[in-house]
Amino acid sequence: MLLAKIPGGFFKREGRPSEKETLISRLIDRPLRPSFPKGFMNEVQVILTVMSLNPEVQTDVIAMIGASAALSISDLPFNGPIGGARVGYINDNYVLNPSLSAMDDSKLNLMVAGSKEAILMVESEANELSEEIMLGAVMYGHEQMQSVIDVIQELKDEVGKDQWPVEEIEKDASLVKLVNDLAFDKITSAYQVADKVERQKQLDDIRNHIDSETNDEDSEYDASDIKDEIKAIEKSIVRNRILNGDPRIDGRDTTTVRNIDVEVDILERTHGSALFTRGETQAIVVATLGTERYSQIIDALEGEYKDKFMLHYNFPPYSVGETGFIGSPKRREIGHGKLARRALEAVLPDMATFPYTIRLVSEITESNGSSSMATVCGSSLALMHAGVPIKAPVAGIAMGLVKDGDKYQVLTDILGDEDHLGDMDFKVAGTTEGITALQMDIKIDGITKSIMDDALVHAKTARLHILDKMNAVINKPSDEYSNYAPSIITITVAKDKIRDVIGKGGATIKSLTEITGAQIDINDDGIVTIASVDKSSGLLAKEKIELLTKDVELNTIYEGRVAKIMDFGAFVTILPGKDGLVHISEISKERVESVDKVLTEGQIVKVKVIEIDRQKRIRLSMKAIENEKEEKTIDEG
Amino acid sequence: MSEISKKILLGDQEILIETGKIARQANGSVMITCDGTTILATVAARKEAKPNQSFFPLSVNYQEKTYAAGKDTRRLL
Repeated sequence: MLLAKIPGGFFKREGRPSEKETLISRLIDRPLRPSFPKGFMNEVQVILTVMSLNPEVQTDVIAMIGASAALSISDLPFNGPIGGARVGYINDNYVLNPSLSAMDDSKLNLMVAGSKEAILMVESEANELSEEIMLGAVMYGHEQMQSVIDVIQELKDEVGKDQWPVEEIEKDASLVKLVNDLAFDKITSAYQVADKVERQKQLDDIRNHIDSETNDEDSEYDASDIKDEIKAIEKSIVRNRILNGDPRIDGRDTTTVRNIDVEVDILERTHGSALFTRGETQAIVVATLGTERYSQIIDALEGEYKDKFMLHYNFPPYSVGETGFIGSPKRREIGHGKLARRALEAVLPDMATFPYTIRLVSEITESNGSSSMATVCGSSLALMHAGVPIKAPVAGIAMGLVKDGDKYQVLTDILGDEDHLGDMDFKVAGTTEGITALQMDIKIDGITKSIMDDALVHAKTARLHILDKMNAVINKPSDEYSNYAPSIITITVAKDKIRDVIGKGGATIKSLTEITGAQIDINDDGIVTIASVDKSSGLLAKEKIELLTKDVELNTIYEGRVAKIMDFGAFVTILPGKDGLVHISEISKERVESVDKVLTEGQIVKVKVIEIDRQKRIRLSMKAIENEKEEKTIDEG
Repeated sequence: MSEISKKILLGDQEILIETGKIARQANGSVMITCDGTTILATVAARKEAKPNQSFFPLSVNYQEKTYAAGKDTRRLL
């Protein structure tokens, strides 16, 4: 049964956007943005409000279709409609828009958005699937979403408003000529400089030079137009060089991955650490292991749940030599963190049984393109260094594509400067076995299946190359967790023993915690998690719990402590919380006048269990052991 | 503008798009419903672009209202 909620907290209002809301906003922004005409610069705000929810229906696809419909019938110059679809892969078949519960069986969670002609965006997480299956899913999704596009088009034809005209921005031919004359050759040679910092210095000098040449009092040219023209020149220089097969900005050919440097164990007191450097992009990734208490409680609309895996991506301004505001993560940082998390999800141990909560933090310390994929590589390394038994190492690579007419070039491992001028950028992460995450953004029409196929082949080669570099440093998870990580021991006790461990009002578990110094949690299934700073106290707690939950066995001899003397016998504690009665007639073969003459409270005695009755009452005997001893002596004699 | 609705079949799911009734001052708006999930999608825009605007100022805000649904009934007790 589902009921609506009232927000918690003091204000009882929805607060700032949750991570999920931010991610879905970003997911919808990506295909909408390229669907507006170039030069349209009016502020546009799309608000998508979930007002009623069946948790089985995944809202992202519905919201995307809603956004497309609202834009299509509006008077804005939207080149839609666009459609969206989620594709799952269940029992070797593609499934369109599976329900939330059906996703449990799916090896793939892929969102694709597109127009009638072109695929615009792909976002996905997969369980080590091949390039072929991934590409098939993209094509399947695009095919299936056509019905959405057709219906929105019908709606648009019936009720759509006239669209606002978009002014074609006419370039000032004299300005174009002036800037080209002043700067073309200089910019061309600046782009021969491989080092990013040096190149940017030269480009700044060129800009300043042009400014000083054109920017006098009575200049007829606008400074921002000049800037735009310089950018246009830069873009065309870089694109043409790529299409002509000339070396790239930093001197590489199209398929070479930048130089890779891998280190682990760089921060002594952390539980796992790695430094991953690829060219001018660098990430320090740190893994921290905590107990289940440190899992994140996600208060989702569909219901609250605990998340035992966290990945936080930080992009401090110093990484690109800038100053800036340090605050809560930006949309971009949340998006990059999520992508890296998706890439790793398939190789994590089963988190339901894995005792630790894992937090990964990626600090981008240098950046020139593809820091999210550096985060993937660094995370895989840090996890292995921390001793987390991941199924396989994961690496990621950012790719670009430049297309002009029938000519196209795929670019492996793109730089920051190559990021914005390509026609398609995509990121692929995976193991040697298959893809775990694929993200694509396509800005132009005419990217065919075979082009994408070609691009994915290049991405695979690069991924395998990076995995080799990583494996040369660490190729399997460390055998032991760090000494600074909490020790966690898990044991299972029978369900009917749970209350023995907890005790009356928690008395037993509390005293166990005090005696051993370990933190002990027990759940309804009888799974006991013992966490401690040092392993020995954890082991002590384990031993004590095992004793507590041990069953008393008939005909077994125990060493017990006399707990209480009675007229008719003595109660002896044989296991923690388990007392049995030695009747006066069972103390000795000889007649015992009075119990307190032979036994005292606190005395350690050997007793044998001679009966456990239906009410679980235990009868013990000391006499029986005497008898056994005698028989033994007789036998030996 | 008169009220109008359209149905789309996507996989096993039927999606209903309705317009012309809600949020009529926005540049465009639809109510979109699928098996109990309803989202109001609206779009609004400024008539004039800011001078020297160098990038396309598009913002997308997806928001979930807690009144939409919840699981834990104890929250209302």
